[in-house]
Amino acid sequence: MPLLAISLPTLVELLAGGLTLGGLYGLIAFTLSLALATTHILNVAHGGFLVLGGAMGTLLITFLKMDPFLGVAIVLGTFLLVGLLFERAFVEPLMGRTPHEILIGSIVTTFGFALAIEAFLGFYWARHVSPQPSFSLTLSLPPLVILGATFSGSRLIILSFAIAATILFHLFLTRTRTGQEARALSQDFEGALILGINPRRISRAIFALGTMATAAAGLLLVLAAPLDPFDGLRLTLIALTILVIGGVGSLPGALLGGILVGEAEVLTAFFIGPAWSPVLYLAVLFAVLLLRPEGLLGVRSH
Amino acid sequence: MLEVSGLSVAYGDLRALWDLSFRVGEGELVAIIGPNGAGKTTTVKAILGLLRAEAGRVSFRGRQIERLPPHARVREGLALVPEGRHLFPFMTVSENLALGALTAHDHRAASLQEVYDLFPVLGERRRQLAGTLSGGEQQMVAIGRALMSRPRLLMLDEPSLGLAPIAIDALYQRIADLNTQGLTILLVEQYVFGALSLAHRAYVLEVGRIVREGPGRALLADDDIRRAYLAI
Repeated sequence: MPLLAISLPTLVELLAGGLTLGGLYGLIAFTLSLALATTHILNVAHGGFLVLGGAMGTLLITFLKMDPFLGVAIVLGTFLLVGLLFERAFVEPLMGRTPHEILIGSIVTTFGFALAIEAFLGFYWARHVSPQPSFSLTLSLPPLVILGATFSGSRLIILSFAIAATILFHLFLTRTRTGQEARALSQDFEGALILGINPRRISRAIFALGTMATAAAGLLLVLAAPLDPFDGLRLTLIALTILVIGGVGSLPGALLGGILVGEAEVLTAFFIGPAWSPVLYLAVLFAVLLLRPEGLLGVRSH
Repeated sequence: MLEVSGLSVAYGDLRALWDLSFRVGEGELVAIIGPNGAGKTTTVKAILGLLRAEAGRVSFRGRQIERLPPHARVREGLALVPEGRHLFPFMTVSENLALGALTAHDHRAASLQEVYDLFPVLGERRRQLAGTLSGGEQQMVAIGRALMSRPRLLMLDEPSLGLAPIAIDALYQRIADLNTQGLTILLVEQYVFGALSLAHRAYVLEVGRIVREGPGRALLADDDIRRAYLAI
């Protein structure tokens, strides 16, 4: 393999691609991790929301020729609502149980839900939209050329979204009352209850915002590469890997883990072949589990 | 102020409290003492709604609260300093305290100043992470955090646990001061000598039942209590 023969612009493009993908991965890992830290719910259908967001955007913008801004607004609004309904259906029934029961219970129920999303989406798309279920969006934006390296317009949009969403989540957690309460719940659940924090109010906010951000990430993911109805569980697995690498509930950890996995995926795909992408990041995952089980930026639980 | 009647709590098949009844009057300092496993922590958790009671009524300031969720009971004016403190270790002292004022947000700045006046060392360490404080300082944060909600009744669960004797003395002085200033207090303790010295009245809890009650000083002078709890 021509490892040393690669030109500098190509290498820069590759690294930028990994960074873009990684920023998006970091964001979806963080929304998964925030829900886990505050409610003990492990949402296996997380990647499914990503795929659904991409699918709905494709349907509205590509097939129904809707104005992109309107299409994005509809997707965001829909998934804010989906997040609230999901919380009511899957989180509320488990409230008041022990963290361990909530964790196990949520894995079982949301795994079923993830399979239902796959089946519904595959069937619906093939039957009503197109016999080849594949979701992708294209934007006609001029590429940006810096020092001979080309950056596509959609990549720049993805990167700016990932940065903006990360900053917004950070401000939400540190500056808003709901965000402070969410952090309190994740650090000491009983301590938070004692102070009069209503865990349902927090979990509604977390799932509404998290699901919306995840669907938005799905929209952007299909700008970079097409998704199919059965990609959901693979994406959940990627988010879980990042969560373990970065540490549960850590925003910088999720971002760092996301970028590591994104770079690993892009570089292995280029130098060895796309089929090998998971191998490198799973190797990173094993290394982290062996050497620093609390995650790179996580804290040892007591 | 607080009236508990017929309270029964079970963990699965294991019964922790049997038909417990007691009351705390306005301005009183009442202690519940008893050995490890007697059900003291279970009692305060059930009063705050952290545990579901099988039976019994809890009336607080004339209102039945046994069906309310914990956050609604806090809004009624109950506050708990839990066993083990349950601070938010990765937040600063001032962030921990601020979260105590969720139900009394308008008074936050004034309450914060009062807590810093009560425990000056917390003012010096306001920007330090709570997890890095000493045990005695953490207990101060836990008490300060509970006071931030301007409670009508302050419940303290084993506040002396894990503290050095000198820190216990200072802490008990603060608890006595708070009561003198008019705060009603329910003190749950294994440290029988301190609790009985301080309390107007006390209940003795053994294996989930109240076996004795009386004025603190009288129980402290009682031969059975001295033999069982003070090894005298």
